[in-house]
Amino acid sequence: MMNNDRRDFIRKAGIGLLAGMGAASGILTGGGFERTTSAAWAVEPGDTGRRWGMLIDTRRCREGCTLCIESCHHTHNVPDVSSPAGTVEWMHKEDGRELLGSACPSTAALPALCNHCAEPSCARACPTDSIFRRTDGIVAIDYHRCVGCRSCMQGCPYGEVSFNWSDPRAALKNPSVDYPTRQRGVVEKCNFCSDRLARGKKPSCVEACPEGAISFGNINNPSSEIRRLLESNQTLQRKPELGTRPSVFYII
Amino acid sequence: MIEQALTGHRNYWIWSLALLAMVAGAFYASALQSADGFVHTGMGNNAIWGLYHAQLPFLASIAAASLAVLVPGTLQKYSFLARLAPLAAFLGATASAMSLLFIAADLGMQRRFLTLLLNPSPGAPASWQVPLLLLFLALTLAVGWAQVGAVQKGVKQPAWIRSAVMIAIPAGLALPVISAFMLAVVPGSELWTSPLLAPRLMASGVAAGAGIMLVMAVAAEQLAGFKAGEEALERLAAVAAWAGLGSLVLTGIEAGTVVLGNVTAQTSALGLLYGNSPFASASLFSLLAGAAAIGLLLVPSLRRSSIAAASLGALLAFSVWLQSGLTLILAGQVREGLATVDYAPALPEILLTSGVWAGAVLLITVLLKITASAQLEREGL
Ligand code: SF4
Ligand code: SF4
Ligand code: SF4
Repeated sequence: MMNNDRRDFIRKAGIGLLAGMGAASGILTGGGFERTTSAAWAVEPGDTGRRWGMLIDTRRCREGCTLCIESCHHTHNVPDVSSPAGTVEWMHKEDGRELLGSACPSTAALPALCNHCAEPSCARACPTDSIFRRTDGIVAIDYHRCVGCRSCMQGCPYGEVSFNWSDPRAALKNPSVDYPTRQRGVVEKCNFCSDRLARGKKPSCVEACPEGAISFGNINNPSSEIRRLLESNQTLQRKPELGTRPSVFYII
Repeated sequence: MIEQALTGHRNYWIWSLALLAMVAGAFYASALQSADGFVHTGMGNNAIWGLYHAQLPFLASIAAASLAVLVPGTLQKYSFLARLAPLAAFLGATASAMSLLFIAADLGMQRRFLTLLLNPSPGAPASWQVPLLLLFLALTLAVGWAQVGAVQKGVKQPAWIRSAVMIAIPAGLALPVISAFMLAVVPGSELWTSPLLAPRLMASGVAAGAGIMLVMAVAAEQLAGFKAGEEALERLAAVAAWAGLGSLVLTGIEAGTVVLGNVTAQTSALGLLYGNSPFASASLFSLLAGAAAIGLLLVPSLRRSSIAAASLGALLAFSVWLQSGLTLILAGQVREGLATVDYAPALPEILLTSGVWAGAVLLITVLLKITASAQLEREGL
């Protein structure tokens, strides 16, 4: 859907803009090969607790596979809205270059989700503190406080917040009992499976991936598995130049 | 004072009824929206914000602009702007009230409106918007009403008016700044993160606000026998022209910086306004109409003819509305993977928006009538 929208936009905006935006996407995402350095997982003073993070090994991600997305959307009762103008997504797959910039050698579709940024601009946009960063690094939404102003959607430079333009309950075919449903008029996005973490489980997308391509853990803990992987691999983040400090990393 | 609103000529009633009909359209559209949400609007993932939100920066800057007349007209002794002070206060109040209505119209969860007051997050600029608007609305409404009352009774203004205006100054000036800061929190949106956005909103707002006050004063003169005084009208026209010139200069400096810097993200954002884009006609019209109105307002003979000045003021205000209302929001939200240029407001959205505007015009009409009658009554004594 994202790709279609973008294509649409380019077609409508004309060739002049096409050239501009095409180049812009490269520059915005760091013209050079902007690899993640250890600064990306450095512990900030005053932030000594947990910081949940995710690492996606795109070399293992199967072409055409959407098991992680299906599992996430089923677990969290994410509505399956058919019209593209109303889609709600917690996780989706997007062309590698769209996602990580021209530095990314892969044009395969890669999984994308909320980055649980350490400096979340979505939260700076919210007038009611309904989208906020928890002390464990998870950027969460209070569905009962959200007024539906959609400032956070504008505020997220990755387009990872969705709005319930229509009644989400009407678009649930097979609701799960593990997670509440939402109402029309509020926003939602990936919650890093805070619901499952509280029950001692791993995120649903991590469990669903048959290739074990997704790792999850506390990146503030130097002896965690995810930190070991981060330190021993070349990784990329989405649009690191925007200062949001994403907690989702990609191995290309 | 209210009784003066209920007497008047036939034309006054026809005008008011036409506006009321538009207000009724807004009620209908808002009922539709409470029942079904935003499905009857053109908004969606292609346009996260639409016509409602697009009014907000413009209205905030108009509210602030009312201070340009209210402050000298109230705080200075023997200012010839004193007669226009209630008009400015009522403009400030109306613009704040409209902003609050558009904010409410744009909420997915309207019944949680009070959350905006009860659960603010001070680090987020957007949290300051509703409380400041409510404060500014209360202050300007009280000041305008008390001033008209004082004119009618032929007494001096109550002393508290001065303190109220002094509190209104920072609140009003903050409104366009907050509007700009609310947009500035979006990294990577080049049209919104410009440091010149707040000063541009303020300058263009003063120009448009003075233009609207010209229209209000001249209409009240021609239709209700209000006397603003030639000097005051000419001063208003000059304020509109010079503030407009200031805003044109800021726009030019900003565009020049972008072109010289030649950073692709910035030039393509500028291209969204003036290049090969659906917003180009509105942006270019706004630029040209604004420049023409400002140029003509700088001609002393035109500035002194009240009808010409009022028409130019209206044109200037319209051009600013296009720029800091429509295109700033609608073009500014176009980003990769997010909103596209592909948005057209739907009929209910247009009905609601025009209904709020009609309600505002009706309110201003009634308030102007009361102000003019108060003045006439006094002079009749
Ligand atoms: S990815 Fe977007 S929604 Fe998620 S924390 Fe970062 S800014 Fe917020
Ligand atoms: S839509 Fe909800 S969570 Fe997002 S900014 Fe508005 S109130 Fe906050
Ligand atoms: S972490 Fe959980 S909520 Fe987020 S995408 Fe994976 S399954 Fe969905």
